[in-house]
Amino acid sequence: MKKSPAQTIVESHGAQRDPDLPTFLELSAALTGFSEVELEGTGMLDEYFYTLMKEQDHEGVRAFLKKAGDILDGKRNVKAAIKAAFMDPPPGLTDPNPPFDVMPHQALARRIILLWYTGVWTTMNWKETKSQDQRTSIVSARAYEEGLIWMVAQTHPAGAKQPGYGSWSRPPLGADQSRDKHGKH
Amino acid sequence: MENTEFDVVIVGSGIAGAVVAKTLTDAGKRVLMLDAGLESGMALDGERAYQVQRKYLDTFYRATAKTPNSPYPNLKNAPSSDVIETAPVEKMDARRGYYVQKGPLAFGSDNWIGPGGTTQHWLGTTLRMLPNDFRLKTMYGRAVDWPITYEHLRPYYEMAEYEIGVSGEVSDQKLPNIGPDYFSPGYVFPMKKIPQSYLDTLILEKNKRRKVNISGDKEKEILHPIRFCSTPQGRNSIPNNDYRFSGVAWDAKEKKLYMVETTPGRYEPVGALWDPYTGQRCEGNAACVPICPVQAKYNALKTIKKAHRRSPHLLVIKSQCVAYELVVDPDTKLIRGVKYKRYDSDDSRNCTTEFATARIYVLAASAIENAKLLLSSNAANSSDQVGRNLMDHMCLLTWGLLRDRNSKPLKVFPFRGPGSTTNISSFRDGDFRKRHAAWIVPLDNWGWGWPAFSPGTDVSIAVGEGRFGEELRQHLNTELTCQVLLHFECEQDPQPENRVTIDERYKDHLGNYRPVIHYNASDYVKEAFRIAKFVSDQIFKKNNVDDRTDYSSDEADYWQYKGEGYTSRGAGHIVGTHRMGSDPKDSVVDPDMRTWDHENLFLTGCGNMPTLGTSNPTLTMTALTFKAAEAILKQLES
Repeated sequence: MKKSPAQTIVESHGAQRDPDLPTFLELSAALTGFSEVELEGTGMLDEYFYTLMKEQDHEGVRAFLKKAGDILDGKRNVKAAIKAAFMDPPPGLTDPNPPFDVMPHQALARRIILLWYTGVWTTMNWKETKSQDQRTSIVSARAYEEGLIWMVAQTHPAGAKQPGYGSWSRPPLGADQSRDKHGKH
Repeated sequence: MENTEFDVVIVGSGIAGAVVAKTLTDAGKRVLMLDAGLESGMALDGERAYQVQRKYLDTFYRATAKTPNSPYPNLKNAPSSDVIETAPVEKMDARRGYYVQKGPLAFGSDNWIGPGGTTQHWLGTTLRMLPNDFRLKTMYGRAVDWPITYEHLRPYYEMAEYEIGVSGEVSDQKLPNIGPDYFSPGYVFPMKKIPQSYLDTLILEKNKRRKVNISGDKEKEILHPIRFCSTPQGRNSIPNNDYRFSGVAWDAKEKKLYMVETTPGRYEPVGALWDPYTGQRCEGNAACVPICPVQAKYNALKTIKKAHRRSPHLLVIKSQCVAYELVVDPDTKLIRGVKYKRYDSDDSRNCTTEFATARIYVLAASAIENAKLLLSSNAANSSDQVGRNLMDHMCLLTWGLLRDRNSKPLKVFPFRGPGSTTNISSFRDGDFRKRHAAWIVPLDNWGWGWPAFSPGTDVSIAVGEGRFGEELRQHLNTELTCQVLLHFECEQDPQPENRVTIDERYKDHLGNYRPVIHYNASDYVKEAFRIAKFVSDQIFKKNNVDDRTDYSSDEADYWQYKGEGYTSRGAGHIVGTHRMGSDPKDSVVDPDMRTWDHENLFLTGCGNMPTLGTSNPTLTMTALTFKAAEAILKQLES
């Protein structure tokens, strides 16, 4: 049987890997809608896992990943189980970054999606002294450039990876031409 | 006059200061330029310039709010405003930020104080004003006439277009009521037009020969055509082989500036400061505001670099020098010098107080800073017009998702190319200016970035709705690729109570005044908003746009007019604080931009403009600056 990238990580990272890293990758794929190969291809996996593990509440993060691991190992109805465990908000709550102490698992899942899509992380440390805005930052310049949002929008990060003179006068590479009857190359 | 080392002292290193410095040093004059920004940022060459750009870019990448000033340092000792500070006036704390906002509306535009000034973050749109913009009073009974006409300014527009390096297509500029002589015979821009976006092409195709009702009343029809026009821009494109100029020079005999003619086909785009081969063409970074990574977009340091290279012994630049007072001779009313504070570093208040003298003084520090400096010095204000008539384009934004005839998503692929490459020009002038302000409508290439901080917020919202996985990916793709945004930049009319003042209670880190701003919208502009929204609704309906426009009462600059609510946004076009006129009683400068009160003090920048028109003001301001530089040379040589 073909190995999944998560399994490959187990081999490639050897004894030094964190045991929860494969779970993080597999969960990230389920949450973002991108394959494990696509996510690894951003080059951000280790940095994002490190970002997550920097949180002071280690027990909380480990418990979250343990729960994710159990769901992913179940193999059946993974999507529904993730939705129930991590995505469904209590009625009336639409904050994309819900307070950690109220719903830690939902908060972490949403933060992980935002991290992969935009490079933004809202840390749960310092919750006594700093506002949420102050705790929110872009992890690194690379995290900004590698945000999945640009791929989803069929463009490039603003201010980086520029596609060249006049590229904007044509549909982007890979655009579905059947829908774009005005499209021209 | 005093015998000093310098012919001219210039305060400011933005495009106005740069153009004066270059024109004067090219003519052999000795110039001292005082810049308030960091010395490290005044890097004109090689590795130093490259490292400065890397630092700006890295700061930009890491900024959570990518506002116009986000890549650049905001100094304690020479602070800049930042649009991120804009909030409803009653909620703003006067102790924070730079502007002290007295309302009733918040002034929502910023500039940047530092090397190259606001050309670092400008979009680069370089439209000329229209002939009727110079005579609003005569034509429509509104605002004021300028003391000069379009015809006066035309040769200086050509100089500005040379210096900035404009890409554009003359034959596309079919603008309202411009007559046959808008461009001089055979004129072309230095470079060919920047390609119009895929989005533009789709919208153009769908709206050819469209007319809309501009009565504001569904029962009554006043039809007005929608005409599109490619937008001239100060960013590099393919050189136009018919362009025949190679510079601007001073004719000492005739006492005037002229365009130097050369064999056509010799124009060379000006590339990045660190490498002339970088930035030869716009490469589609889609980040003109706030920073062009390859410097294909013009910035004023390019002009300063040329001046410095050509005449290194004539141009002295002193950085970290904040001018705070002009000293006026009580008898002659001449300016005797500029007092400035030279600070050691931005971390400390340590500074030395120094004094610069010259035969002529030029303020080129921006409309707000010029006014502040004049008020602090009690100078040039016998008309009581200094600081008054502060104007901006007040922008009505409308946005939605484009659909085809069957209400299926129609992808336009925004977030690519320069911010705007096409505009609707047919509302820039017309008889309607008797009733309400004129406007221009740039088609925006960057989705809902401006009103809704897309694409980042789209992720937060979708995740907040509980979307994840493949569904999230599909949803975001469908939404983001169909986003369209229009913005109606309405010309604000001059109002004496919209003004910059100073107040002992509000000072910055170095003890210099902070600008205190009073600001509001007149009914002339509010009526333009009402009609513009009426027009936008028609355009959206005809184009199957799923309208997502939303003005919320908790936004800064939300107001109601005739029963409807609107949010206005600043365009960054800060104009009109020391206006030009033909009468010393109601204006600050004469048509040469010399202050009426002080023979050796000239003001440059957008503050000189009596009215704003519907064009982004930088090109007009630069043309005026060439005119001022010519007058300065004339005065120096008389």
